[in-house]
Amino acid sequence: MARASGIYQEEIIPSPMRQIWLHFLSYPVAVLGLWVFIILILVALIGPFVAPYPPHYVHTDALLFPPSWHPDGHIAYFLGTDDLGRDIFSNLLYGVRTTFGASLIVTMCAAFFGIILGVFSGMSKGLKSSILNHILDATLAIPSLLLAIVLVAISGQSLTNVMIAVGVALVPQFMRATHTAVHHELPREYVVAAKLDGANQVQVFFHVILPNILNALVVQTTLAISIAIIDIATLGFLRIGVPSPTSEWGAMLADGVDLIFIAPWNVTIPGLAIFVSVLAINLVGYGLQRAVKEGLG
Amino acid sequence: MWFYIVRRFNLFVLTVAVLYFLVFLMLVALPGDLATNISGQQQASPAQLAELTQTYQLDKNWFNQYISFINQRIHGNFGISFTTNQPIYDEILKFLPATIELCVYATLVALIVGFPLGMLAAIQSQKPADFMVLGVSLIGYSIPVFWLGVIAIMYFGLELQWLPVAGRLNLLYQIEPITGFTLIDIWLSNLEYKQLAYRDAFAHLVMPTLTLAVIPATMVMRITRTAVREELNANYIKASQSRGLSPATIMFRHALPNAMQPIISQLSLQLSTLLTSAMVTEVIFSWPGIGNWLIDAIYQRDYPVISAGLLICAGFIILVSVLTDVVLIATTPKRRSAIDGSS
Repeated sequence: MARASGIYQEEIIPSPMRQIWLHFLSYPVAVLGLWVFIILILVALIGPFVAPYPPHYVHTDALLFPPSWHPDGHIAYFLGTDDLGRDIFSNLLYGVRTTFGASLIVTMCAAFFGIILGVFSGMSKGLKSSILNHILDATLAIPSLLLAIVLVAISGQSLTNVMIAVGVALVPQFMRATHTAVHHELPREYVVAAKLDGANQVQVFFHVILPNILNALVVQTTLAISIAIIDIATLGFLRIGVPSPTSEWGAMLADGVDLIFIAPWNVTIPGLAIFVSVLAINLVGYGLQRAVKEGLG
Repeated sequence: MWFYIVRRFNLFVLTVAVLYFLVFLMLVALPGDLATNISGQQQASPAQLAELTQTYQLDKNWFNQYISFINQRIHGNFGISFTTNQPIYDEILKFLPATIELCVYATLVALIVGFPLGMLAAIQSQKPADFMVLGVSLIGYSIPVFWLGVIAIMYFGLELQWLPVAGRLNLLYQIEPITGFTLIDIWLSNLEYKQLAYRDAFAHLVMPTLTLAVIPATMVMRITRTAVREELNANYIKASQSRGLSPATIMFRHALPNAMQPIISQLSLQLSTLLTSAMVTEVIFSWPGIGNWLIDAIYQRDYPVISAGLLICAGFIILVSVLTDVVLIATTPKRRSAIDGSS
């Protein structure tokens, strides 16, 4: 604890949020993950302005160029080109928006609805809670990707539909996490004390329980982002995701599979992009989890 | 205890009913006639249509339709496929063994690799071994399974040519599918070159199994690590240490049996992740299982097959979670107080 510079040797105890943040900063890997995360957000915002070419511009004189560090590579095509002469680097930059950016938005929406529903099922008792729980159990039992696939099959392929499908598939997981967290806190003594003080359900939730479960929800959100990225990319890979004129990492990888023997970089580079972004988010999530555990004891 | 088991069974029935309702809703929402979607009967003649209306009570209200839908499905009538016109029930029986085979082997590999490593990390807590295991599990958990499969095909299949890249068995070996499990079928067959057939079947199994095993293995590692470490911090462990019991005795007689409870209950929750990655793995390695069949059905817009696949996969997951709950309740009295409608 830092000592104040005044004459009084007072100890300043950082606020809980600040303690978590300080603990988080003490894990170099987690901080690295956070940096990658920030860079990805920046790229999602400005990527299209930085990209050297439009994503689907066909360079007819530059088919299947390897990445620039390869002897046959060309510096104009930093990460090489595919069989139609499209620049992989530009495609990758545009793809940050669909794969990474979309998964961020999707997770936020899913978190919003999932947490609200989870709070309802967690705070309620008796029949209402039991009905919500059975619906939750049944939806949780359907694998999230399978649910997304079926929803896309029903509603047709488009970026919006893919996002809705992945989001709907994520909601039950948020519900479960919130429900468990709320249920864990409800019988605690400080909650009972607040109730005895005459707080109603809404006050109990917002002023008493919410500050204590916020950490669990933040960790769940980071986990959900990585699941959303993998789900969107998997849908793209199975060619039932975002339709083809949009750049998407999973679909790029699927295109590359046909060229795997002559141009392996078409597979490795998009895959690496997915891997790095998911790893970064998992690192941040892991750092947060540990920081919360140690910061709050 | 029976009270809890009966209660859990009730929960199971209700959850399955909700699942059937969701699938029923899906069949109503999908484009096309409900009679066609629910039975797979395309261009039905008036006589067939009348029969379908009778079986599924399509002239009654939605609740009767829903009840008769459950009734038909439970008796094994899953309708017929749009594309093959075969009864879906027979197709499931044909494809399910391949998926079970793949999943069981992958789970075994995951347990054999993940369990000792997780234990090691828990014992060596906050030491290099712990960080190594943690790093490996974080990295393994972040690798997209389809990328890993494709890279494996590229390197071991195409570049080194060590392993076959698709299917379950070379066409040279004509094995009559009796059980559907390749290894058992080879054993049952009267083939002259059983040794060679076994080697071929194993070679086909290696890559899909290992690809599928990566994510479950990392989960087993992390769950084991957390659970064992929690137990090792408990007071009764300190008590047995001060009594002078050997570390091995403490680990295997005291800590591990108690750690098994959270490990088993958390692993059963991960089953849906395993099934999802199994589907993708099957597509990459052209493994003739349920996942491949289901994805094909989605390309073909084969609604009866999609609904059947959903029912089978989700039903299986619910069944496993209920069974693990029952086993845990039967073996640990501590859990009994916790279980009610909220579980």
